[in-house]
Amino acid sequence: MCLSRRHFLGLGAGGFFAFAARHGIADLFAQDAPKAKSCIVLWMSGGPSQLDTFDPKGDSVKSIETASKEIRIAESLPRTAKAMSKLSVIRSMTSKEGDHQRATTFLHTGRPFVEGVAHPSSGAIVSREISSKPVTVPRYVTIGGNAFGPAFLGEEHGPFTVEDPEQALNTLRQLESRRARFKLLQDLGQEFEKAHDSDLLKRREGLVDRTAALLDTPFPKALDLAKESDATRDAYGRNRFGQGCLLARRLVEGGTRFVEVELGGWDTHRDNAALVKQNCATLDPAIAALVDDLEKRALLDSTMVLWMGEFGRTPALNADKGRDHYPKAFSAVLGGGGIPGGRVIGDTGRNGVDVTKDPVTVPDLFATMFERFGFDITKKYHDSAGAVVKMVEESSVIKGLKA
Amino acid sequence: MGGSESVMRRLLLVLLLAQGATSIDAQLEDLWRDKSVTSASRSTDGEFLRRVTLDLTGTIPTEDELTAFLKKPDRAAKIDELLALPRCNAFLAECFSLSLYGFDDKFDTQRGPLTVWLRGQFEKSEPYDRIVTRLLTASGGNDANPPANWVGRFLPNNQPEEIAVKVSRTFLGVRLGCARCHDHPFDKWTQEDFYSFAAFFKATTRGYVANGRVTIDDDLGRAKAAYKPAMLKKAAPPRFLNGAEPQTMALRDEFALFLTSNRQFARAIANRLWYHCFGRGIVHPIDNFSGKNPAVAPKLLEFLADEIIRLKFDVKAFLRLITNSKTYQLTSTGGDPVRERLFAVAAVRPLTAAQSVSALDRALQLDAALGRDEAAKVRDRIGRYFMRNAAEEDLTNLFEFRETIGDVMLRMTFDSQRITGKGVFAQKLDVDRVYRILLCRAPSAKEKAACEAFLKKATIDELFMTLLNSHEFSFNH
Repeated sequence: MCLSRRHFLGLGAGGFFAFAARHGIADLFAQDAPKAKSCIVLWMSGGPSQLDTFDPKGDSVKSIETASKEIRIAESLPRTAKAMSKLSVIRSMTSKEGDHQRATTFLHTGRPFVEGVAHPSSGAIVSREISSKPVTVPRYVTIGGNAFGPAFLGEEHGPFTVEDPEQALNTLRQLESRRARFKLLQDLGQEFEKAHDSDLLKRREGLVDRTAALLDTPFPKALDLAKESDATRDAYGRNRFGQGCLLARRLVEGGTRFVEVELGGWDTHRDNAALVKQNCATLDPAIAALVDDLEKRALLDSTMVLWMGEFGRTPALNADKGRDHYPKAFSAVLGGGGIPGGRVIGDTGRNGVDVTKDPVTVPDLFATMFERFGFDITKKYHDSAGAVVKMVEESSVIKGLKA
Repeated sequence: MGGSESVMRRLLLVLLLAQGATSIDAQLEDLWRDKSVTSASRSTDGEFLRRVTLDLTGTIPTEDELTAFLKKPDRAAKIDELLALPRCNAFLAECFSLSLYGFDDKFDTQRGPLTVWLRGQFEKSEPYDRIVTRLLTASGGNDANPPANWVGRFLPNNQPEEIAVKVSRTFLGVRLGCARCHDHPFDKWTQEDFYSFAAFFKATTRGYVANGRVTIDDDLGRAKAAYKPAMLKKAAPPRFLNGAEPQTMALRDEFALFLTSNRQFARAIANRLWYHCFGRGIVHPIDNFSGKNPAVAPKLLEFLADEIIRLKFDVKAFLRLITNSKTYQLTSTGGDPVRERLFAVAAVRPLTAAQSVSALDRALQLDAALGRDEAAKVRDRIGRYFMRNAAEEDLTNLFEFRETIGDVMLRMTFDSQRITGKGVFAQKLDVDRVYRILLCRAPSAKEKAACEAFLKKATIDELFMTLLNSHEFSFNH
């Protein structure tokens, strides 16, 4: 059946819906996939070996079947394997940056590192673009590790850093008992504020006021992992990363839009196999529990989960049985937030040395993420010096991940 | 040297200084007239003392210093006294080391020895152009030659681009880095200019010796070979921005000469030191001299460039000149953003992490409370915490606002008991003293009443710790 534009225009709105329902084509005009509202990045700091995780290669790595017929992953990720119908693997990530700091910047800002120039991080962009309302609950939170800033997007879009959830909760509880201090500060500040009309002073006033206001938001409660059952806490793994993933879920429920949780220890220049195995023991339950939990709570459709590190590792082992930095061909894993699961993007051939199919650049990954959020990815910002900065560098949305 | 001779010399210096400081004011008075703004009145003595102590020594005055100064408020003498303190050299060294290097150690180089070395340079009033020359031409191991830490920091993969970007921003105030990938969007700098500028460093290599140890060398083969940057698609022979080309293979020596004898070098350091004293450059940000970003007071900038050349790049002499001006000594009260930009009123500006820690240290008298060793550890811990957001950042623009909501939260929970284990002071505090110690002034009647009300339910210690978080304490003004 051919539905011409003319045909549609001829119908009134009510008429159209009636027509659409009759012909079972309602979803023609519905959104093609759920939009992402939040994102949880699982950041594998040091550069995880793709070969020993999501792109298993060679005799030394045993691979197993997963919930998706398309995907086999390393045997050290048995629980993650069961969740692969909800996650897709990009095996053709490729970049030229093999230095930790510079590559980490690249994978956080979507732009190659330039000494002395700060670009906004993906978390700051999500915080800024998601809503123009004033920020009350921190929209961008990092748990452990990196805290890439907002650059010129405004301080309120910067990361709220949680180094240790328990400590952060304690801090907020202490502040709760110190409301009188905020009151005093606000009272005593008046004379100075009245006598000084200063932009910086206003910024700091905003910070102090937001800190006081934070106490009345769901945020402190979200930090309290003791509210979860033992069974849930155990499922994620009783370690920093596992509990960080659980916290990420709680924060997303509380209104945070971008959370990064870090798992370190992936810089496996020596004894790669043993170290990776150890890391996977932490990673596997956490990622599986997170995906299951999000789904159970009907949050997976609106929450993108993205697993990545700054680069991959060399296919050949070095003299210390380690793997060195390898940005040329590495993997990232993502699902939720409208990203279909169970798919494989790209390939690295027999030995994993080169991307042999559908290369994906770092900006491509960023474009795909922002597109799922429904942002206008052609948007341009102006930095403090007035120069134009694109939301995303030249890139294309990954076609294979369209719903 | 005879006594009368030195008196004469001092008199002459004072006269010259007075002339320079007056000219700063004269230049700005013209500007204010043109823009129809009125300048603020003179700062109070307490306000001046707090500001100048923070700017020259990185901390707040003690209660005793305040009392003594209010008794005999000789501002010029105070400036001389502060500039002669070892603390002044240490603070300037910390500021320069952060701007030049950043906070965190990188690429097996170390900032600590660089800071110590810089302190030594300020101790002997080494001219800034010579300091920069030593930095630019540093070679050998970073253990024996501290400036080698700076070169190594910006040669991550033995490519000359990073160091060229940093040099242009730091020493010339020009963001040449934009021309790395394409011709500069607003300025005349082309991609070729950038790579020709970088080419002076093409022979320089960083060799790894051990953890934290590197060696910087120049390779004659690389000096002779053509430098063909991938982005340019042709060879870039070394050529300075004004067209000067090296005559020898000692590329870095020639570069240092071209750089330090260029007028833009004098402008950039004059502007940086102005920024140090006002929180705002005459060209602002200080690393963005550009046709699209003109100086707010061009004549003043040229005058200051002349002055720093006349003073033979003596940083402290130049700071003496600025801090003695009427403009520097204006009040911040009644300020607004328009007049702040024109320096017609003293600006409200953030403390650097180092200033915050030193001010906290002074306020809590950590040495007395904890003993020197323990106090040093506490300072280091708090300092690292205050820097955590900017530890990886480029700090060319050192005096920017970097506080986050997390910082405010943490600072609001600071507890003197937790920091010192003993509470704030052994001796008795009252509201008046708290204000004098922290804010260099007496409380108003209204403030005093608010404090007294607070004290009905809280201790004086808590009042003290709360005021440590006040905007007035957290800014220099």
